[in-house]
Amino acid sequence: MEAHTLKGNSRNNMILDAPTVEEAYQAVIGGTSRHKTVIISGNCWVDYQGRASSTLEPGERIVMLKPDGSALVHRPTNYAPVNWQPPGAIFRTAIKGDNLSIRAFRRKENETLEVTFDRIIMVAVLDLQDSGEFYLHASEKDMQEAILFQPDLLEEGFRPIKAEKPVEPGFIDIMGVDKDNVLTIVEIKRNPATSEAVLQLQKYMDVFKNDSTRRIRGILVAPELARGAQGLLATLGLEFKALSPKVCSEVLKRKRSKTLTEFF
Amino acid sequence: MFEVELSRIDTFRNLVKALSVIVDEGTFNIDEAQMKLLAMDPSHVAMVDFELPSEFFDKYTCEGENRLTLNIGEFLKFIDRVDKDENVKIKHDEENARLIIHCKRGGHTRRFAMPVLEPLDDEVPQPKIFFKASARILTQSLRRAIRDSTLVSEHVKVEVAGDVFKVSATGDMGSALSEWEKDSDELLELKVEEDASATFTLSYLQDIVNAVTASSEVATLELSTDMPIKMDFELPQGRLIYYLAPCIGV
Repeated sequence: MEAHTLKGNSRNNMILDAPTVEEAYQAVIGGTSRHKTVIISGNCWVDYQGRASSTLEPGERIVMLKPDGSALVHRPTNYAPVNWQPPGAIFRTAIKGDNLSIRAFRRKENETLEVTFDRIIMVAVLDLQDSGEFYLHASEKDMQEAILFQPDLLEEGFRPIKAEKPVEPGFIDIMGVDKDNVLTIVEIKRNPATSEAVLQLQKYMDVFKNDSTRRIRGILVAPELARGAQGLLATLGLEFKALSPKVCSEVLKRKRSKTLTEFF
Repeated sequence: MFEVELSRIDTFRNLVKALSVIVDEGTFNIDEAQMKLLAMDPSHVAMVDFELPSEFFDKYTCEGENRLTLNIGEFLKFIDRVDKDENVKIKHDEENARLIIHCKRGGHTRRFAMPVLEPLDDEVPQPKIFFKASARILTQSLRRAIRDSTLVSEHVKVEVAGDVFKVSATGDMGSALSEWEKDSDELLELKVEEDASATFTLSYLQDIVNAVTASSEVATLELSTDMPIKMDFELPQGRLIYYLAPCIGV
């Protein structure tokens, strides 16, 4: 067996190449109890008992045990796991005879997934840090870029003046003027806009209301308004524009082009 | 007042369709001799310069200068309803701000009315570009090369290098290349003052070329490196020119 530390990341990651059952047992126990991500590859068979029951005959597979208590058994083909447990399962690792047994069970549902290895190719115990968001289509930043690129996504005649304008309580996503030259403050959300978002926009509005007596519009841009935000929006005299991240991502696809106005 | 009559709608419809891929709302400037439209798409990446002489129509009546602003997509929907053996009359009802479309076949008439919008005031200038190369090519050939490119990329490179006109695309899925040598039957003319190449967003180019194929057999493309492309699609009567801004650094 060889133990490696991962290149460029000596934090607390470990890979065991062809460990014995005993070595693998120590590594898996150590990993799951410290809430690390554990990957085991080897020859194994799987029994599942719960709402249904299944058996997977011996073969070489990849098993993943995640810190949130989800477990996945992957065969060498197909994208979906052949067996799995959703988050919240409890892992129990044991040596049974000459084999390594890993059970992932969910007490409430009385579901048990048991994977038994008789030969282990590799064990990896990984301390993975991941706080990134996953965006299916466009992030709020992308939505902002799309509106700046094609301002009539907001409304016809809208002209942006400044993006990310710093004001006392934060940054205004987009500031511009509408077709009647009325100052317009735009706050963008990629999820259904809540009362909180409405209040955030109102705070930005207050900055300008204190400054002058001229008319000013506030527009909240989001795929939809969350329940309860409608009333507040109306009370505060703010407006809502429905815009989905998907539409924005379509617009951005076209964006990498220059505009003709640069050549006039 | 403005009123035209056509015994068949199809040629006119194809032209409106070609406009609709670029223009959402457009203002036709109409006088006794012709109707004109010069407009950009909402993201200012593409422009169309369109002109149709009065002779295009079977009957053409215009008194003074007329401005007619329409939602082109909506206009297309209405004239799509006209059957090809119907006689059609299109009239600007200024009093009610309506465009009236009259279709007639035998003793049966249908009448549509759609809103005429407030004219858009923004003057659209023409891009000022000195083109270094031009290629006159069959519209069908251009369309095929563009479709080839969509297999592999979202961008397409248009290039004149020496005696060769090229349309090419490269992406993760592979590459596609069309080349026409000067003596190709499909390439009617090639003028080169200086080699030129520029890259464009395929979705625009594809929309444009697909829509004009029904109206135009031959296109003249004018090009300078990393500058907008000018695409002059020849019509039996009138003018249909598109400008498309390049993509830089893709």
